[in-house]
Amino acid sequence: MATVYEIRDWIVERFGPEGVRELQLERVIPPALVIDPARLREICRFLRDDPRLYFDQLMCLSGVDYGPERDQVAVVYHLHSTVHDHQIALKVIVSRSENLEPVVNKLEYTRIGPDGEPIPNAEPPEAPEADFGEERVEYVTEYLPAVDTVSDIWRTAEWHEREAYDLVGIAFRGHPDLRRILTCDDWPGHPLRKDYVWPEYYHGIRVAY
Amino acid sequence: MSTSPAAGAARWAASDPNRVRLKDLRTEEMVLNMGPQHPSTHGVLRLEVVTDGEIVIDVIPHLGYLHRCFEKHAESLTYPQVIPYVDRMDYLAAMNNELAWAVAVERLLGIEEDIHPRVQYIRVLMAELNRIASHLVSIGTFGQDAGAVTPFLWCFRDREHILNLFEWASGARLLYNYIWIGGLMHDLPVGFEERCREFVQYFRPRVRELNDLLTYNTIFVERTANVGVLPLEVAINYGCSGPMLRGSGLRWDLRRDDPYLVYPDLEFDVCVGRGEVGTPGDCWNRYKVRAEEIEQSLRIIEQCLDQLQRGVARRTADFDPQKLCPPRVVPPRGAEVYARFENPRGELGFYILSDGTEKPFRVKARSPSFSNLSVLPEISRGAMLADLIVILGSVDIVLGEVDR
Repeated sequence: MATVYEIRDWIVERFGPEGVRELQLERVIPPALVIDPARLREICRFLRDDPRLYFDQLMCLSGVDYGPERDQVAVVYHLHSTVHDHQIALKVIVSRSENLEPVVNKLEYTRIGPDGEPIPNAEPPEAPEADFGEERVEYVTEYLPAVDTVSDIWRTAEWHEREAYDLVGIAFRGHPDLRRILTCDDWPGHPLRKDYVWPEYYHGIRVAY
Repeated sequence: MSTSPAAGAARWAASDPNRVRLKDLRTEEMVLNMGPQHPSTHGVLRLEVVTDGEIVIDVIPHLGYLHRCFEKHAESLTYPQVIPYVDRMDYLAAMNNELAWAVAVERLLGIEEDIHPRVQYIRVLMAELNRIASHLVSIGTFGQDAGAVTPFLWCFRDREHILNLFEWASGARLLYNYIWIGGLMHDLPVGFEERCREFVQYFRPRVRELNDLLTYNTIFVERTANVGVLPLEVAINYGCSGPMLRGSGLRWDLRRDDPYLVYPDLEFDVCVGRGEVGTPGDCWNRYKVRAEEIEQSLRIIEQCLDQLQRGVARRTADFDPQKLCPPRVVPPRGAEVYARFENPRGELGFYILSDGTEKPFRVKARSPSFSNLSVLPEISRGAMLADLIVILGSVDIVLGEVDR
């Protein structure tokens, strides 16, 4: 069982002092290491494969949006070793508004009326047989903060990264199948962003409650 | 980066289309959508199954039909107000979820050690009763998935007794809001412990009956043994937990290995799949772990009852279950906790971030069914289509928790 100080020292020894940016101990359970986003994959691979550490289980992967004022998003990895029975949290903090990466997302939904014009905030017609025109869904490129994927290191991450992309709006570079997982494919925006605004209508259904 | 843009607009644009395109399939392959309304999915889950005759080539689960964004709700509620929402995640084991949320917030506040022993024993008692109820549903529906209808009826008959006990204690049969942050809603009603002991006496022989009926039943064994084998390293890599992980042979139980409440003082065995029939990690061994866990839960319940009736946690006149319930739950700014608990389905984790207000800044629920379900494609490739139903039944998902 290694302490968090030892784990920090081993990472620093291997990846240099810039590998670990901060050690968060105060009121943080389990203790967290803020690491360099550029070396995330190397550090994760080291943590998993090193015999002193052997973090074979990714318990949880969470995306966190700190809001527009702080202008940061974070991905938090909670690791655990079934062999040595120690835990640690890794944090990767990236800018929310800089170095964004394009992601093609099925996003924009419009209903085209019989006259060929889009209907804003369309509600379904009263009579079921009334012609309500066509639905149209378009693929739109979004620009999102991006973090490297760890889904090939721990397969748990595959779905959790999809969830973080879906709800928090963080892209994962190199993810094999980055689709929305919990919300619909054409849901507008990412609900757990702090500046998220609920859509008024979705497919002609009132969302507000 | 992920999906390639489709050309033009469709007349009916499905919001969650199939991932497999027809033009990528070979001639003999076919896409079959199992769900969202299908009795074997135990809820609303859609499995996009690529089949070649009766052989499953690939499975792509589509989730989210029950999504209500619990995490978003939690951000706009105070900590105690979240409890009823947590109930609705794993609705078959609501007590375990409440316990997890309450202990996680207590750990965030730093009052975990101060909880009265009677409160702790009642919590463990309730959690173990609920574990039995949840495993009974799991076993019953699993039997039904494999074609046996009787165990389902027997299991639900016995589960009813547990639900009656819960109704007596909390007023609700399924979604209790009984375990509060720092305490409980009420003390146990007078006579509860005695009634609970009667239930244990009644239930012990029923477990044996159930084993006689189902566990070693040849037809059931034929359907489940050596089907959907999950190797241990795959299970760990995919983050499987609970009976899924133990069924694959790892002796791993958070009640023993990352203990909380009074579990260190209680005696119980961690059941693992030993390959008595079939191979460790197959559907039968996952089932067997659940069946054995029921007996271990009964052991824990008896020890709790001893303490509640005669031991350190006995009923006293001045016991107030809400004594430590804080009037306003305000964890310090910047505090964060990841706390994990052994639910009937595996490791339920809550990652809570506080910004020093009454409402959590961010809550992430790591639900066991979510990770357990993600391994489904891996273990069902190459299986028969009818076995896919059995494999899904043995994973034992609750969609309320997968989709949150």
